[in-house]
Amino acid sequence: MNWKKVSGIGLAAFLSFSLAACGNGEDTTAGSEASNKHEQQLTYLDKAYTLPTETDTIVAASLESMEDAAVLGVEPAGALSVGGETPAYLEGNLAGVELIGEKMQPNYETILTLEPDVILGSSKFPEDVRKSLNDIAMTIPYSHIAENWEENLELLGSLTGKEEEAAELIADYHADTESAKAEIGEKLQDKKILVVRIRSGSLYIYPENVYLNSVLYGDLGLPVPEVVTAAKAQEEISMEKLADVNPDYLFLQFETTENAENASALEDLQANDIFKTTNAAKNDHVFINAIDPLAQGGTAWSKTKFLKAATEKLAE
Amino acid sequence: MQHKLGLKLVRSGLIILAFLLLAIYLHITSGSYTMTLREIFRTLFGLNDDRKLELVIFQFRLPRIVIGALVGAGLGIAGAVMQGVTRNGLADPGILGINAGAGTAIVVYIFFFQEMIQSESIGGWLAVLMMPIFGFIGGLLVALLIFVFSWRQDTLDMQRLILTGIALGTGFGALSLYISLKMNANDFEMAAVWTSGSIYNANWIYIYAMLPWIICLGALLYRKSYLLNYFQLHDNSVRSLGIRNEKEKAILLLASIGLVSACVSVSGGIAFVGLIAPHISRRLVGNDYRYSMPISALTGMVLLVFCDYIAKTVFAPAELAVGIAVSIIGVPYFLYLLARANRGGG
Repeated sequence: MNWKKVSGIGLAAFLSFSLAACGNGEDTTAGSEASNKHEQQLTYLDKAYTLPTETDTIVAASLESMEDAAVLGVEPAGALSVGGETPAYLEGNLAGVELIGEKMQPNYETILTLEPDVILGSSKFPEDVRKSLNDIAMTIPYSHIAENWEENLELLGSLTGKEEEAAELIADYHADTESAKAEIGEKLQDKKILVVRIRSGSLYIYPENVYLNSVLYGDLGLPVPEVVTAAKAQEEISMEKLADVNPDYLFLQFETTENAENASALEDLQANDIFKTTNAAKNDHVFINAIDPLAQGGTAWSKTKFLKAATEKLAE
Repeated sequence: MQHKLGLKLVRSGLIILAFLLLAIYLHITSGSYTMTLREIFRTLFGLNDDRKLELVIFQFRLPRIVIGALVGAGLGIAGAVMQGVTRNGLADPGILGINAGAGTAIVVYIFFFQEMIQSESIGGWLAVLMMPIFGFIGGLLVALLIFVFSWRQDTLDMQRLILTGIALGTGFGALSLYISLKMNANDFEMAAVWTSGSIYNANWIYIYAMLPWIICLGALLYRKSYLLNYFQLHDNSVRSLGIRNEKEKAILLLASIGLVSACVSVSGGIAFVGLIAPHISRRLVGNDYRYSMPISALTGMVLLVFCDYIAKTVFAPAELAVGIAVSIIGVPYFLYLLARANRGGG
């Protein structure tokens, strides 16, 4: 049997081939010869990044950065698609922007074609995606955490020379929360207000500072229901439990693409007899998609819109 | 007879090799980044030092092709072994519970550890390898569990193997579904991408991690492929030939488990390749496993490289999971093969 010989030769050939290929790959990353003199240092969430001074070409590879771009009126060179298209709720601002693939698997080659100066990735990217994007251009992991929304907006502001607009937006938001607090804060101190998202036909709630909750409980200082305090991550809530909590005001977020197999989930819920016994349903205080259900929740775009919508609805 | 078979093997091998080259050619020449054919070949042979071209070829396109080929070969070989050992043409590596086990481990990793590992900022290589390592260990553990359960009175009961495989597979599937429903939207999607099978994230680190497994275990299994021919006989006849039935079956199964775990940990749950590659190869070169196993490996390579080409181009710039592409292309072809076999009288 000379399979040993054959496989030995095969192994050697294969290894040397792949080693050679890898060697080439590493050479390329080291040789980022470009403009050393035209660089700037930028600090974002306690980490320093080296970027070209001119950051004209920005690729927004995270929904958070896309929302921020929409708020600041910036047009990125490339942006993510949702279901193959620009997400409908950002279409007004991002129409015509080159699509770079879906958020879990951005297309490296398309991004490379755009020759970006900086890529605003997601802090949720796995390490291998981050590495590959970094090979194309400096990639900043844009935070998905609601508490960092101001830093996010300031970062995009400074990359696009819109620092003032960013600061103004942040100041406006704080002023609006204060006035909203004065308007509705007193009146709602003994009420239960809940945000529920319908996904795959089931009902989900979020921890106190996640998703839209950061606006209600954190910024507006509304009382936090016990179920929300108890939730450690996204948690399913049964119909019975929801009736047991018995919210006075209920914000329902329902996105059809997240409920592909349960398209009628929203109608089913509204027709449910147990659901009808809740205070919110009885008093007509169920608000469906107060902001677009695809909105990320923890960005300037989401927070501003939801603050406005929530203040309006809760004042009713 | 032997001579005739050898000829058939060489001919089929060459045909499939031609298909493999075609698939590789299609894969490497297509993508969103436009390059001329001349540029592609100059870059491949190191005659071009444009950083971008090298990035596209060596970091984005080649790793996918190599991973696709390795995973395809691994699943093709393991599929042939599974069908031979269980004497069941419907067996595929999935019944070893590896997909379900690895899936659960990946979901556990995404849910409990990913954040921690990212915030601790462990060095690049280890962080990249963390997810496959979890998948590999999860796959191995569940497969070994099934293996132990189907061991009865010093014999390996194939019926029990298939049944415990289905039972544990379902159980772990339910467990990972339970955990993934507790995830936030992003993590959920990440887990979903993994479950449907994708080699989008191919890189050289993964290749180095899985290459030794594929080569060592693949060679071991090929060396033992003649045994699979004897296993088509009744157990007693096999024993009377002086073959240590249980021991050899155990070695074959354990080696397949290692092989599939290495594949699945990188590519996610790609179904179907392990089922149809052995069938296609049997149609081409007959039932002798010494011939059909290498052809099955080659067929698996062609299937995966070609399907990954489809997966990356059809909805570009968005990606289709290669596991889904395999099913879309593989199922009709498989049905066609079955129908033709029926018409021909089996």
